[in-house]
Amino acid sequence: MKISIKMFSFAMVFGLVICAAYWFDTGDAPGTVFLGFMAIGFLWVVLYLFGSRKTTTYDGDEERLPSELAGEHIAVVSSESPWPILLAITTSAFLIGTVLHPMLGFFAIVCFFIVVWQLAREST
Amino acid sequence: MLGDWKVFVFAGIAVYAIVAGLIVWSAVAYRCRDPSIRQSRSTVHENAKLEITWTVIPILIVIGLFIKTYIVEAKVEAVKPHPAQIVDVVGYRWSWRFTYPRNGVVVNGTTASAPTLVLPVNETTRIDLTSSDVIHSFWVPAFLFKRDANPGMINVFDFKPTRIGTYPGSCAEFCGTFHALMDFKVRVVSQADFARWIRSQGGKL
Amino acid sequence: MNAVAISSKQRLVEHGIISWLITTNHKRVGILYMVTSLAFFGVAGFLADVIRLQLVQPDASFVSPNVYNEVFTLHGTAMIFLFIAPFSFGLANYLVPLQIGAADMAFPRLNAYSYWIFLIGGVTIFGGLGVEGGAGNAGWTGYAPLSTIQTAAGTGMDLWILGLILVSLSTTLTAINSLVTILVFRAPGMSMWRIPVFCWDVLVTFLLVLMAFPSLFVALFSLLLERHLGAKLFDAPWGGDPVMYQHLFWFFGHPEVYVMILPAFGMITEIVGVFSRKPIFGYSGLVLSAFGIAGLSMSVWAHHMFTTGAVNDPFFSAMSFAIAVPTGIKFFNWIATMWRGEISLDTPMLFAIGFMLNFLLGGVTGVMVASPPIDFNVEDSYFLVSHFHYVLGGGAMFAIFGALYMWWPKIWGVKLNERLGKLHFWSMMIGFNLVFFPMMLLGVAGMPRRVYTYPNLPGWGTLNFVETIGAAIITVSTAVFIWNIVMSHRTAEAQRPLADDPWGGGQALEWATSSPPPEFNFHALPPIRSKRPAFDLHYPEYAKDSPK
Repeated sequence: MKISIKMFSFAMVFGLVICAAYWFDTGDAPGTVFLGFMAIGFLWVVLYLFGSRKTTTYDGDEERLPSELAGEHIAVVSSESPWPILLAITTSAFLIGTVLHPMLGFFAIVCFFIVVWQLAREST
Repeated sequence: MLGDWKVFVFAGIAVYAIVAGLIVWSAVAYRCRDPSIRQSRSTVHENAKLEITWTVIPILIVIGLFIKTYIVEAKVEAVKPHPAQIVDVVGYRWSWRFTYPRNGVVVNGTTASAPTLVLPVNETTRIDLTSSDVIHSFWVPAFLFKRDANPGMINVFDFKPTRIGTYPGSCAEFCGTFHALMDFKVRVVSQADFARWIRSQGGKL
Repeated sequence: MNAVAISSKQRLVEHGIISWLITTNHKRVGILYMVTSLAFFGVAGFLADVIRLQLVQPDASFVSPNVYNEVFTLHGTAMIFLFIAPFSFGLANYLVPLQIGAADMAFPRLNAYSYWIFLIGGVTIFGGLGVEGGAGNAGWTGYAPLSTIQTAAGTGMDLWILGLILVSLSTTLTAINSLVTILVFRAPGMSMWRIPVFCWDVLVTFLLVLMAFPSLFVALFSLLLERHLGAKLFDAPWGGDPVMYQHLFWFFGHPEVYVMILPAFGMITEIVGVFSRKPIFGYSGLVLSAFGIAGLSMSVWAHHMFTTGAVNDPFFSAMSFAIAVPTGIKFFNWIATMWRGEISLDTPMLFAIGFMLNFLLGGVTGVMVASPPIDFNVEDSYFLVSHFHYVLGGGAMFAIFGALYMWWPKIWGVKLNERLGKLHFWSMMIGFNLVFFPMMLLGVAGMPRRVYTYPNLPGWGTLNFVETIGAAIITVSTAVFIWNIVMSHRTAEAQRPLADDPWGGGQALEWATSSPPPEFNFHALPPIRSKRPAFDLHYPEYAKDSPK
């Protein structure tokens, strides 16, 4: 988990830096948008991984080898959760807003990150 | 090209008849007479020889169809190096313009009044086709041929019409509101009539 | 037994509409997909009726040209992206965990998320009808430059693109979810070589999705870039290449048609096995041919571009001919399953036979258009419209109806009425062929597609009129189906409790649990020792004949 967070955080920072550098060097809007979307995608993953970290430890955790910790992130199997539909609404608003209605898009991005965080917390 | 079409139609009908016949035959001949039966007496679920046969025979059939296709297509695509006539065809929303560069004749079409492409019989006419806005397609069903008119690209092909007459043509790539009205006509005339027509349009031979 | 009083709020959450909004159970998500896709089918079918009313005679003015162009765009988009594919994914959602003995999908919340963005995406596409300029109107293929030139009054086109992006995201996530489920969550004894052919067809379908959909994302995002950020990807005067859009689109588009038909092949395989009362013939052939179809389908895309003058026709022609071979193998395996069987011609089996006869005709015309010299004449004509409707309508749609009749008892605990089912089948078979068979003649006669009217040439008006009659019959047939559902559910209590295996010959695991199944699918898994574990459980005297 720690390694995944580090990996995707690095990718996200790299993406942001390259995106900014690309914009200042070429001023090319399409390419910048693509790189920006990529960086946001990485941010999404980092948020989810961060939110679903275990914050409580259980007896016996210390005895597990690092290699055994590879599968420690096990998703919750619940029959119900409000987050899928809420995430769907915010994802859609984010996509449509970015193209057609900037205020909606901005509002949706904020909601989007909140919902991803909550989804992640549900998985701990 | 008509020969290619006939081979495929014949093969298609034959394949359909055989396979559909097998389907309908098994559905009728093996109908369940006793609804309380839970499993048929035959429980064969594999037969290597049969499965190989019905793989190999279709492969041979499609190879044959491909060879025929390849030969015919080579003939259709071939462009003669010294055509008797050249026509530049430009598609636009929603009609066609035919320009005869060697003769200085231009035929402008409008959506309301479809243009006519006049071609001499028994002579090769090369068409240089393009579009000035979106993608269109130049289709003459009587010639069993169409080619897309792409903006920024010139598609080159030729016709050697063999029968005098007037044939309909349409645009065959959806191009917006009046795509349905983007028709034209192809009029194949004798070489003497063609010369007369050129002169009547103010061109020179 | 004392009934425990619960508050109405609790009732809404546990059993009412809120429970459907927050469910992550694969059976409920599957039902949501199937119900939603059938609703879109109804809308798309209505749009088809509008098309047929406009074309009933030459020079009709039932709708204006612009509206007509929106209508056929939405009809195609809805049928392909919002009906056939999502229905199959919904059925896969429902059946796959049951058939492999799992309790749910690998990622239940992701599953629910995929459904909701599908629904929102579909609504977004149709939302274009409510904006200035109307909905997307560049055909379901959205070719550039036609789809990129109108930006000002073109919000509808943007909504079409955005809605499709959402639907494609939904499909991609479902693919990941299903693949992990099939590969990781099988019950003990359920080896890969024992999973039902439907699961194999679904697995291959989702592999295709992962390979093909990225190309669609690129194509759709490219359209957005071109329309809003001044990209010149497809703008010829600036050095762009309009044909490139077609490559991007069809690299997705051709695998997409196999994404639509492979699950249908799986449904037909299951139906034919159960209703022939025989083990399925040629399991290996059916599995290997699915992979053959998938591999070849990635290499044929430019057969949609033969007339562009910009592709290597012989290569794509050869590959397109080749793909007929594995498809033929599936047909022969189905016939061999029926051969010397004890065939019971219930409604699901009738639809399966109808599928075979219709898809065969579509396939034969497909082999014809694989030949460029033939394609040069019939591309973008009504011959092509006939071809793809035979394979998708006469094919996938018939398979979907067959599947609905077959699995309805399992899903709802109610069997649909047989007489109404047979009426539905025969009227659909007649109506469907009345619409699409004459189109072959019209196409060869020179009628192009996507036209709001046509010239009054001899025979054209008559054939179009006949087709419109056929469309009316299809509409009535669909009404019969809806009536069947209503009537059968009125008598539901008389049928309950329904048996685990109401058809008396179910082979895959879903027939080894109650109808409908409990929340986590199985109270107890039966032993899995063959390719038809439910049949072994119910008829142990025939277990020795089960393919291992």
